[in-house]
Amino acid sequence: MKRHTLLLCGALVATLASPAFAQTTPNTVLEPPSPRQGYYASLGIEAGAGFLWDKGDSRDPTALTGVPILRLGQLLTQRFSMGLRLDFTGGKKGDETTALGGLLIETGFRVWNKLAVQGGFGAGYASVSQKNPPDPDDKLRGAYGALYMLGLSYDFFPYKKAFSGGFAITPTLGARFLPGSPIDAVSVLLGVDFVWWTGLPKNQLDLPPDRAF
Amino acid sequence: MKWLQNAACLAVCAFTATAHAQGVNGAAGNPAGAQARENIDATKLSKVPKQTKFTQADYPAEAKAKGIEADVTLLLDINDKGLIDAASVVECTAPGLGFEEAATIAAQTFEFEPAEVNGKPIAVQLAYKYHFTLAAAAPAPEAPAQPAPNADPSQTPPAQPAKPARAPVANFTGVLLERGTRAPLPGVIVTVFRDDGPQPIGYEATTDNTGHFKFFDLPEGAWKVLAEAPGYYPFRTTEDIVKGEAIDVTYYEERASYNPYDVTVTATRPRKEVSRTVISAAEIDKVPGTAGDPLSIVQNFAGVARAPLGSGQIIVRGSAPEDTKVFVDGVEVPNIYHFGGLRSVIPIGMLDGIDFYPGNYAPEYGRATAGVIDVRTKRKLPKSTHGYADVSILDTGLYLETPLGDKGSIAFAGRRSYIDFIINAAVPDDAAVNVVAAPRYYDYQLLANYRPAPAHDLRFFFFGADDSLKLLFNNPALLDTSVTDNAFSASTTFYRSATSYRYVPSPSFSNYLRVSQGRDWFNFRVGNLVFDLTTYSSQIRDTVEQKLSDRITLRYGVDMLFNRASGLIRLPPPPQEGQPQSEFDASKAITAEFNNDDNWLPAAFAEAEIRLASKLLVLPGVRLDYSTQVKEVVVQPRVTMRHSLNTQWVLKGGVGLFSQGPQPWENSADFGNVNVKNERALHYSAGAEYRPRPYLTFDITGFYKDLYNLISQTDATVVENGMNKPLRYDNKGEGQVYGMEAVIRHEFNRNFTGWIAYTLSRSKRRDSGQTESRLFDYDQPHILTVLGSYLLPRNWQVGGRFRLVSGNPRTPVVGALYNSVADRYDPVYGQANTARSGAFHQLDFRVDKKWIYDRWMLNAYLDIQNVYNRSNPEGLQYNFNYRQSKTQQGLPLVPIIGIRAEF
Repeated sequence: MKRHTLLLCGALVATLASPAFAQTTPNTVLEPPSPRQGYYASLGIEAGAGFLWDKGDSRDPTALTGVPILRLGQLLTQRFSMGLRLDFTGGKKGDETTALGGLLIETGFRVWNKLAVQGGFGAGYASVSQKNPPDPDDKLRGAYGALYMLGLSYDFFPYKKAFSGGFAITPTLGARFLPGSPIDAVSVLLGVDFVWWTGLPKNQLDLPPDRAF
Repeated sequence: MKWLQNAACLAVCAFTATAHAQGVNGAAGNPAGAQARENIDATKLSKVPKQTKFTQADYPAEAKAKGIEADVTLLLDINDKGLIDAASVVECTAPGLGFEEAATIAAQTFEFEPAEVNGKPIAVQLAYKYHFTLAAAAPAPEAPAQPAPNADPSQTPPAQPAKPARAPVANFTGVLLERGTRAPLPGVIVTVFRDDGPQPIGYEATTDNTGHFKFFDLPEGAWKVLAEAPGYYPFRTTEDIVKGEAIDVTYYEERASYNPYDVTVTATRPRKEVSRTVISAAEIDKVPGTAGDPLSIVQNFAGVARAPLGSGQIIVRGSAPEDTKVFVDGVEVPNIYHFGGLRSVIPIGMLDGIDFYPGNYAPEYGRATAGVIDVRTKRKLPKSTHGYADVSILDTGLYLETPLGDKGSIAFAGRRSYIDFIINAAVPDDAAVNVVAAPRYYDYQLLANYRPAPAHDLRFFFFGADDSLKLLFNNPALLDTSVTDNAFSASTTFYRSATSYRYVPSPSFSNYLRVSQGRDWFNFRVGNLVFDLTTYSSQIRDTVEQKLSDRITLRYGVDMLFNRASGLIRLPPPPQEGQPQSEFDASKAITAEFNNDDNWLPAAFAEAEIRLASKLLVLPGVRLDYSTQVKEVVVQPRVTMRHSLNTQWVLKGGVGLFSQGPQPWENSADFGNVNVKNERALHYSAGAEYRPRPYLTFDITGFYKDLYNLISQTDATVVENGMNKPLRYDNKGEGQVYGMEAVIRHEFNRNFTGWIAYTLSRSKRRDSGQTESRLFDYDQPHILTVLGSYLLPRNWQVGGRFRLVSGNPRTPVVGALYNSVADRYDPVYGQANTARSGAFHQLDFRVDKKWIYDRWMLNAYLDIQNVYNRSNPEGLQYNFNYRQSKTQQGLPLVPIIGIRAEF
């Protein structure tokens, strides 16, 4: 290849030195560093109440606890995230065991600061198992179907990180709804997630030249 | 070339020195054609123009030979985009030797960041001094290889042409590739710079067509490297240059978005048909609800009815599934799906796209009275080796393509299901059914392409598929009381080899020859009942296209098909369309054995493309079909027209005759009537297209199909050799199909692609001997499909598909009679197809995520079918005496996960 070219001297290097240089290239938006950036992986625990309707008849609420809730996803824009969520909660009341869970597509939208609203849908199940039911056929009753969720979360970043990403402790408030047959289920849960944000690679960040290379 | 370094350096020094003083000066004189500039004080500029692209001028040969150097002062008109509107010479220190012309030519391609006033780009004039400096004499070892960046032009040493220049040494070379695809990135500026000295310095190189770049005589030390291409994230790194050593690097620059639609072929064939849906492989690949299967998209087109669950049928404009033909590059294939439409037999990697014609298609296609699907295999030659591994819950597929020299390529693919492993593991040993083999499918493909010259295109495509299922019932009565064995098996195997040669010696002539050979084997056994059919088929198709004038193009050719069938059939006569699926009664089985039954199906076709006026295109044509078994010549005249009212509106219409031969059992001596003739369909269609944007099309088409000579079951008898013999079938069936299709299609634009397709139709039949019409089995008056995919940042893509379809007609059971011989109740049916199942509606959602690595990419998807878990009716299931029934439900919510690794 022919040696081409241009010693940019003042012009080029002055440009490189300017923060504006790192802002954009055509069609490519670079983001300023922030803790909520990149992929996230989260393990959470939850506790709350489950409300079930069996063939339309309301059952007494059940206390539910969530074994580690697994969430994996990515922040797509500075506000919008998308990922998958594996959700399992359960509770016991007398000889009845209630379980509610599923696999969901989860979306999140940061509405203010680090407060985000989550919504999702996917495949879920709700079941009630009873050790000694009046009717032996009712030992395990349940429903499989669509599962919907809605929630709120706030990320606290206890440690500072140089560029982007970091570890967050995230209180959550969420509700799930599974309309099924013969069981409909609703759960309301409070919890806390332990979230690791990977951050963005340096070449996708708007950084001054001394940190960009 | 040393002189280039100097020239470049000095030019910029000159440029930077003069920009402020003369950046804006309307009085400096505009060259011809340049726009007048507003007088603005240069000090009011909030930003001066900065050069972003420099082109070296050719050093005039005569001046170079004589060792003459020069400075050329140019006046550049830089517009508000930073491009050069005009360049004129103000002064040249050595006029008449070609310096002025060389500098002016080079300057035309310069690019700048535009000047700004209050942040708004403006056009300016700029004085620019271009220095032509010859290389110095061969430098002493201590002499700097490159001039100091802050060199004063006045201090440039005088040329010493007597001594040869030292050849520059490339000590930093590399190649810039796209991350993930490894495609070279040409024309990208790679910058090296350092700011650790008293003055920051930098150099640029532009990548060539193969993505390579070079830097010569780069001084030792740590250099920051920056590569920036539009639409890509910047690539940044640091390289240490060591004296006396050269480094060679490979950089992978990541695209901001790996848009699958970037690879969509933009050159589209002009539309000539009344209705044609063309869809590219990129669009096909990520359609929600298809679980990653490429050809399942056909079910979403306007005019295509929803097929019963697990049937894999394609029902077009109210016609029977067997009335629609499927071609692969013009070669007829028996089926495109594995078991029940579970998967297509051709993977996405082999595809260019699909053409779908719901009716009124060209005479080139025949032997079908409904629609045509032509699957186009990949035509583009790969420039490097690529492939993928596709893993889903159903199967795993592999694909590999590689160039063979620069004129050929070869691609392989294969896929196998593992449902059989899962089922075998899941079914307990004491189950009533033992799964002996299955359900299992695999397919394989080989595609070779050779283009020795632009006029010649030689291709070979070999592909095949095999489906198999075998069950053993511990209790044969579970199968049927009349079945005497406990085995159930079904298998379908076929292969095709297709060789094609396209010869295009001139724009006015082309010849496209396709020769194919293949074998189809269908085997179905239920106990002692057998359907075993092997068919060898050969096809020769040759199409000539000849442009006679600007207004007339002729297309003509032959389509010769030969089938040789052998097999054994021992089955009860299959129920005809419109008849209820009656109880399976093995006692009525008929046995037919045949060996080497030949059927020649020659055909010829011709079509003229006549542009009667600049906006009116008329395509009259004719097709002649013959079959040695049916012994009938069918002449099928067809005509279509398109009238462009303006650039946005098109009126279109067509009428034509289409014919199709009987199904194998219908003209069998044992099962049917050897004297049945071809079925006929007269297609009428008319409509309009409106294209308000290049990516947006509104299309509405009304259609009417008059079906006659339909093969229909009859109770009539004929006398043969003094004995009454059942006729079984005759050609006295009739039918009408009418309706309209409305499509709004949004091709990929602003990250979105999708369509809304609505079909309103009615399909009726009148069977032989009947006076009243009845509804067709798959009459679905309303078919609505709303489908869309949206490309999100960071290589995510989401898509949804919603379908709302009328339920199929069904024949009600009005009672039951006890059959004491068979010890069962036999249903009493009411009038055919006078009841209707409930409507079907379903939402499917798909999300894709792609991860990009240096040399490969990983795509994962989750396709959730039936998102809101609708219990869709698929039929009725009766109890033993037909007094009670319950609705058979379709599939519940099903999440399907798949991944594909591409390299």
